[in-house]
Amino acid sequence: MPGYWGIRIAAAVYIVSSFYLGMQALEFPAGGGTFPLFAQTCAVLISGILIVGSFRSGAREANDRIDFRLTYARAKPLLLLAVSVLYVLVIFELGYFVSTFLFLFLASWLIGIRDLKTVTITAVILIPVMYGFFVVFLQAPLPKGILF
Amino acid sequence: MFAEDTFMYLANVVSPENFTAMLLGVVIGLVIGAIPGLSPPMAIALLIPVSFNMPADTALILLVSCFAAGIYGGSFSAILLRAPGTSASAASSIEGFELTKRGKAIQAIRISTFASVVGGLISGFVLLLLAPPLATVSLMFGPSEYFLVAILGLTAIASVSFGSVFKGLLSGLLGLFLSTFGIDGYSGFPRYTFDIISLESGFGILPAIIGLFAFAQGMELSEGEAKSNISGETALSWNIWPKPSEIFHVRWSLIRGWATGLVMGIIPAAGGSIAQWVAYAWEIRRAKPGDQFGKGEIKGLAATEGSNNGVTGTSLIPMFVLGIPGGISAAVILGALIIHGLQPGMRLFTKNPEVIYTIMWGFIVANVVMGFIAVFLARTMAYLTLFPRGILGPLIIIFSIIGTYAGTNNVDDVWMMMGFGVLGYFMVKHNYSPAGVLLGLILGPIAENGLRDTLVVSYGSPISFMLTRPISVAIIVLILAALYFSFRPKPWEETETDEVKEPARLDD
Repeated sequence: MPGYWGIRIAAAVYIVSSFYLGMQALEFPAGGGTFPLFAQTCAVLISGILIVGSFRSGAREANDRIDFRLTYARAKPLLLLAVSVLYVLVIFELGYFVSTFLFLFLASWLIGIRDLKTVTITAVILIPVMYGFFVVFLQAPLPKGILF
Repeated sequence: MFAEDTFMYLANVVSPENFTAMLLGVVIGLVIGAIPGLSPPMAIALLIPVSFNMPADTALILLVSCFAAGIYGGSFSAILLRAPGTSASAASSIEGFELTKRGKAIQAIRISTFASVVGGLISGFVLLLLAPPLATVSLMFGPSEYFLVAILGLTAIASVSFGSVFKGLLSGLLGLFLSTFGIDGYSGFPRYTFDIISLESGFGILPAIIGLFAFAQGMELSEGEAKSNISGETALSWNIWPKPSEIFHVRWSLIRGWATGLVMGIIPAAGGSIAQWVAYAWEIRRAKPGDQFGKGEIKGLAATEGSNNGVTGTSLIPMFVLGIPGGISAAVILGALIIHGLQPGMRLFTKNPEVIYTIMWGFIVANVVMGFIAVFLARTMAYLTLFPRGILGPLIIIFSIIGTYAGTNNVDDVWMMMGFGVLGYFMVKHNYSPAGVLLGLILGPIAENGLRDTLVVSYGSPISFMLTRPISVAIIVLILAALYFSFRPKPWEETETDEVKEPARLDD
């Protein structure tokens, strides 16, 4: 898909959501909708300019395209995101040490690291250091789990 | 007589207690400032209990040293990992990280250190010598000025957006809009909470900084070849001291950065956040053909680093003289001042000159000490750039999650941070500005309070009210100038060749 279509779609979505949220702002009491309306009105104007600008001949001739093919390289950030979500979900069950250890190994492996020795050394050094820094020095508790 | 009294208190700074407190403050400030998820106000707040049994001047030296070092510490992770430890270093991450990718991390750290140390020194002397008269400038800022300063900050962001000015403006406006989520401070009415309890306190700045920069960067690092590192280098240079030739090359950028920081620091609340962007925008307007802004231009980094530490001393002026904190860090220091029995105001200078001037000298000396310690700490942290991406990316994700949770003790903020992370990742991909969103979030409350108060005092005619105030008119002119220059082609866009030229002056 040509890049200018991406701009048009994003700007259109922004305009529609601005109108919807702007309608809500009209209901806010005591002038509470003034600033949201100000921000959204400016955003609608800018989005409109972006849409108009996408019809300029220069924009149409630009070579950038939006490629929706999902290759392994493109999937890696999404895989990392998925594993991160899992990490946050399990950290309160398994605790900081176990879940962080597992996350580091799984995430590195998914991204393409196969050198387990380096990952192990990194985990053995950094995970306890982080614990010491946050819990012991800063007195900021980290989640404890079924083990510790 | 004034000069004699002022310089007399310098000797107090080098007493064993005061110097030890300064060292402790600098080290803690640097380390905590460098870690995304932790911030200088947090570091200062942690040190307050430590300072209870100290004399007032020792305690305050500890805290202001931590403040100055924390602001600079945020630049380490900004430059090395594009994960600024503080919002004040967000602009430095643009050119700084590009320099790191080109294998110039140590050069970036050298210039950053010099710019920050000298900026802090100049700012400290301005604080020492000009605090009372400059404080009156702070009083000239009313609600319309605060609103316009916030808009100036956003137009500065737009003018430095490399994708499109309009995309930069849109990013800033998104940030402004997101800042309205939560309970309205005027009416207590929940805005855009969608019956979600965690949204009642709005979007936190901490999750936004970590998500938009650190988490997004962790995702971006995973894209490349897993075994490669950020810089492509296999060893680090040991050349950690600034070279005269490098400083001469960026001299005007440094001066512009320092000047911007000194001036903007006097504006309470807003000045510190936007100083770096105003300095960066000014630097881009002064660009020459062949400059590589957006691809690792050392002049851009020099300007932003000069401004963000140039702000530190002058931002303490409204706090010491008027009791108006210039930011969160200053607010925490103000609390410590009162805990130790000192009342801010002109009486502090007349009844306790030995305390206040010792503190100011402590701040100045702390910037020098910071420079020496920072250089070695930065060299150690620079080893992170040699880590394989496949390990560094997950490590940054871990730090982002743990740092957010440790900072707020609220898992909803962790989800928020990840949401900002996804937003930041895709924004960069499509040439929008995550920094614009962050600045909009920070400036939103300032802009909104300014606008609503202006509407009240102007009886619903804000424009005519603003036009009667000289400072407002001056800021409006600056906004229009920023917009005008942002639409002009940048000098490097006029070059005929696309080759990236390596300036000989930056060779190792």
